Amino acid sequence: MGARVVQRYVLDQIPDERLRLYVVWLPFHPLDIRDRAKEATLLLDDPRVRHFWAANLGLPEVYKAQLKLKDSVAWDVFLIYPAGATWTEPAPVPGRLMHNLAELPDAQRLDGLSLGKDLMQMLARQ
Amino acid sequence: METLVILLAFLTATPATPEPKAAAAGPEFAGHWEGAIIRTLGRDEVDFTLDLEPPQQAGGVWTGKMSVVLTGAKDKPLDKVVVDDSTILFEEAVEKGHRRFQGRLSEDGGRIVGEYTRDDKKFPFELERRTRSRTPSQGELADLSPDAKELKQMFDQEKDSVRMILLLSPT
Repeated sequence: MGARVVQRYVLDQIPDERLRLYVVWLPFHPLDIRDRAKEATLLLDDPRVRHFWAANLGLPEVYKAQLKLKDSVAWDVFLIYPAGATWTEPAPVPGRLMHNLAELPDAQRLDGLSLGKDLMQMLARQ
Repeated sequence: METLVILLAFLTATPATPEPKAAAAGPEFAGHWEGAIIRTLGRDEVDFTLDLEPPQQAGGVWTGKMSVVLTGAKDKPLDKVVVDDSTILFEEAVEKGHRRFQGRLSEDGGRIVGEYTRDDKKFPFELERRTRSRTPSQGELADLSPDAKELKQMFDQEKDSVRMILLLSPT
């Protein structure tokens, strides 16, 4: 569901070519297999999107520590980075975060309207 | 909130002097539509697509098919489609009842907005006219190494861009 919100409020609304989305599909549930991930790529259908399938939860574990999560690994999270940010180990700290997790603040819960607005402001500042 | 107010105003608006319509009113509803039921604007929206076909003969009925990404329903025939002037009603039978959509066509014929009802729950819905010829990008799925080196490399190569990383379940 979060993927479609991003499609509608970000990809459909912001035609800017300087925007990139990296979607990492992960096996959080028993039915999360590569073939399902391949089907799920349709949920975010745009040439600015790169889709990855990760067979392990290494990346969510890294972000779990970074986001100080206690109960779950980081999934259903939307990490936003301004232009100029480079990769730092173990993972770069996002400039802004949105999520659909119970244990993170409600104020950061995924909101397509707010996300689109923030991204347009970041692009305008470039 | 502003969008909801506009939506409600649009739904309740009545033209002062309705224009006469042709006898075969409604063909502008025909075609492919994409949109969502808006449970919470910008946060909780259920995507669906709709394909509508006008009656094939005089006295015939409209038909339609609906697909819902979330449930995996694909081209499920609608049980009822009623077009009247610039309004439409369509229904889908579900376990213990119906999903009912009542909408109104925009003046430019490009949007249908209305209200979705199931049991005692009501939410707005919006549809935009689209063509089915969009080419989806299914299949472009790269395997990520355990150290995520492919992602790191791309992240740095495209550092002049504003970027998002999404960690998602495909189900």
